[in-house]
Amino acid sequence: MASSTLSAAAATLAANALGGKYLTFALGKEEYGLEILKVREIIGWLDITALPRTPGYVKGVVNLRGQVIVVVDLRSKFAMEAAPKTDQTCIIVVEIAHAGRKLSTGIIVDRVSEVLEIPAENIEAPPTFGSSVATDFILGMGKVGEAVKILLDIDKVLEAQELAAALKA
Amino acid sequence: MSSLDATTERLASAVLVADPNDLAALARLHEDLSAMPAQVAADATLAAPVADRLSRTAQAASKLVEQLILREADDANAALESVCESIAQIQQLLSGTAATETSKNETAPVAAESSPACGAEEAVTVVEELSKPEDLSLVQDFIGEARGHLESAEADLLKLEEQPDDHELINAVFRGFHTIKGVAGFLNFKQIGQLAHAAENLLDKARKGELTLTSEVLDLVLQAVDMAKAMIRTIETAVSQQTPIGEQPGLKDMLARLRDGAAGLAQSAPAAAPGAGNAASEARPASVPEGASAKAVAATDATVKVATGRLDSLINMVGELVIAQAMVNQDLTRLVSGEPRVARNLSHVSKITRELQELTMAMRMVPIQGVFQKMARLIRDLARKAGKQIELKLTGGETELDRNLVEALADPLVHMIRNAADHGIESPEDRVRAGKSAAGHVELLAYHQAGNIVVEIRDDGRGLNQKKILTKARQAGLLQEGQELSEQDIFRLIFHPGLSTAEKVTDVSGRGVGMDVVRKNVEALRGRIDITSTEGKGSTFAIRLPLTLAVIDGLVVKVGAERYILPITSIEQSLQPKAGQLSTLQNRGEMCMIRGSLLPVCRLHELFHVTPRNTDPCQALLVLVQDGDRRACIMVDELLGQQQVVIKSLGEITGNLPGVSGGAILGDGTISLILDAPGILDLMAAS
Repeated sequence: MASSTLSAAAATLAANALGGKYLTFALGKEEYGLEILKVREIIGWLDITALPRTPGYVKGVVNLRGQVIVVVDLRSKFAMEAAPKTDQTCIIVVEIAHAGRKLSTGIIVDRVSEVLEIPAENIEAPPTFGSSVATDFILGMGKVGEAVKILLDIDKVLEAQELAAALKA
Repeated sequence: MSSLDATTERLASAVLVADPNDLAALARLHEDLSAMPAQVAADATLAAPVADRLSRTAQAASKLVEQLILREADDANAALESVCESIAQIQQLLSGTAATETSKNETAPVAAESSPACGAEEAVTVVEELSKPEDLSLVQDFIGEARGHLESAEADLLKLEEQPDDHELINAVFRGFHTIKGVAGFLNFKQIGQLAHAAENLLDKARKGELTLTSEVLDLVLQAVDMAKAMIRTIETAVSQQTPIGEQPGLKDMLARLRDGAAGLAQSAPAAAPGAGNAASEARPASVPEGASAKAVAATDATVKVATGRLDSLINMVGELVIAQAMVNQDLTRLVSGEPRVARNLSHVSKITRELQELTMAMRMVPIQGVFQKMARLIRDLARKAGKQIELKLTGGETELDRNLVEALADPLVHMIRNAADHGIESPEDRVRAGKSAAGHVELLAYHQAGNIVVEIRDDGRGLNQKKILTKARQAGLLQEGQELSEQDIFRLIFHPGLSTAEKVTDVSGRGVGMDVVRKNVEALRGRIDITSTEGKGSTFAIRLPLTLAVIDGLVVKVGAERYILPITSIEQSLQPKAGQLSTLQNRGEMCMIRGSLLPVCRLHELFHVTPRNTDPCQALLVLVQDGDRRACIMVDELLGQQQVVIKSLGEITGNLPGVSGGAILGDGTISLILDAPGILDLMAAS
């Protein structure tokens, strides 16, 4: 018992450090949030060049002002059904840690919503679902009014090691 | 920390930033230095001789500073340097590691009294602690700087072999060691400081004409340079891994040898028997670019060091600018057809853009001289080891090429130079018997030709023996009996891995150590090697490389909706096959008969999982690609044309896709993948 209380306390403590600004976006009906410091920029739609022999969630590469960056389809990564591209579909360029450096990677989302300040007391530790839903890449659940934003740990979502391994195969 | 230590530390940092014109700073230096003898006297922990030398050094230095303040010094910078050195010495004395010899910088009055010779053995500290973290950037600078000094010292030493009396050169090498010693002392890298000090002493003797720089002595100094390089590497790893620096193996021995060398012992020992054989085993760079010897030391253009990352992003941005400008130009030209002013301005902008691009590309170009210099050293060492006489001629060292290429070129060149010296050039006796001069000649030259850079290695050695290559190739099963080969084809056999790695062939043909590796390296740089050789007269290996790795000539092809780029260098031809040319093996392996050879057909769309427009090869087009001996036809829907494209790395994590060597940004700003012919052939073989 004591240990579970402890871990709950640790989780609260961690959640306390999470307060801050988040860029929120939508995938289907779900609303997600990204720590604003990890976001480099939001770009509209660019023509994506497919990379042969890569997993489905790796959409390909785009030319971001001369820099080639990989674009990942977040829907596909989360095993959600694919959605047709609309004029709201856009690519968020995030910076993930890879081998001690920052690596720009694009993620495709349905719609970018807004930047929200979510105070620490409104962030809860992610609920546990057993093995059916992976939650290790969720920082916490941010409550904004009635709505809930799923705050993502983008470094874990786009595990650079995994990406690298997938692309080497 | 005693007041003495504090003063010394303050002095050490003050003197490094001191400016001969900054009177206030000089005054503070003077004050500290004058106060030092009293502090020394007050410190009871110091041994009498050390204390004595400390105060004398401090006094002398303070006198120098005084001269500086009164503007009596002839050469303010030199004087300041002497002060710097004296302070370094004080530091060494205090830390108890100073050599018992005082340095003999003439400008410093301290040094005027000559050395008490090799007295007590210096105490070599086994482990050096890293300096404080705040010194890290200083250490980094030191590493870079020391490397530079050592490299130019090496070059100068080789030139010295030519002109042992060239004082300017001796001075240049001396200064290099001197600077290393000074900074090493300041940063507390004792071992390298000692080494530099010992080398400096030796060179000082030579500078004063007390010692002749025979090749044995030069050998010794070159070895010291090597050791210093190794030590710099150790320091570098130590800094990056935050570990203390261990003892450099062989340092004591080297110090002793340098000291003996300085005392003139080196001449008597190995050179005691300078028989014909010994003297013969000398290689000298016969003609270092004319007139370069003395001037090169002094005259270097003012340069700025820029991080390569920044340079790369600049090149990136300019590339983007060119593309964006082209797009704007295209759009506007239609709109402004009746506006001469706008049209003129537009063309002005394009001109500027183009020049900007050329300029940025040129920023990456460096002369090949650096690599050549390394080869000069290599030849010299090889010749001495093998007891051959080799004269090396370097031509075209100023030829410029992409920085990345220079680095990548070094390896193949080392291989080929080694081959030339080891196997190409005969022993002096054999050469004389063959009616040639006893000294062999190796020429290394670089020049530009039709958008390529050509690096040639010529030797006047024994040349390639066609018959023996053929025999060996037959034995290795590379050739059928009765197969006729052109001369070029025969020479090309030495690049075959089956042949070149075989030790026996090396002995027989005289060539072939790792030649397959050389070819692979050169081809990876999108270059090729041509061989010409006459038996008994010598051989020429010409490496032809594109000027830069950044641009490639490619054929844009279309498969379904995707556009790919095939490097022109890997394409032989393209064709639309007729049904009669096609055949299958076991109903699967498709093949196409082209000019008598049966070549496998590669359905790129299947390998890359794209939906093609045509699945019937007769409707599609075949592009015949080759990689060495392997050839195959890649099936594509359409050829869109040939163009020069700028190669982009696909980034760290996408960089290793099989069959793809990179990306290129096309005129409309989208990325197109550059196909890698060898990789595709591998993929085919695997599927």
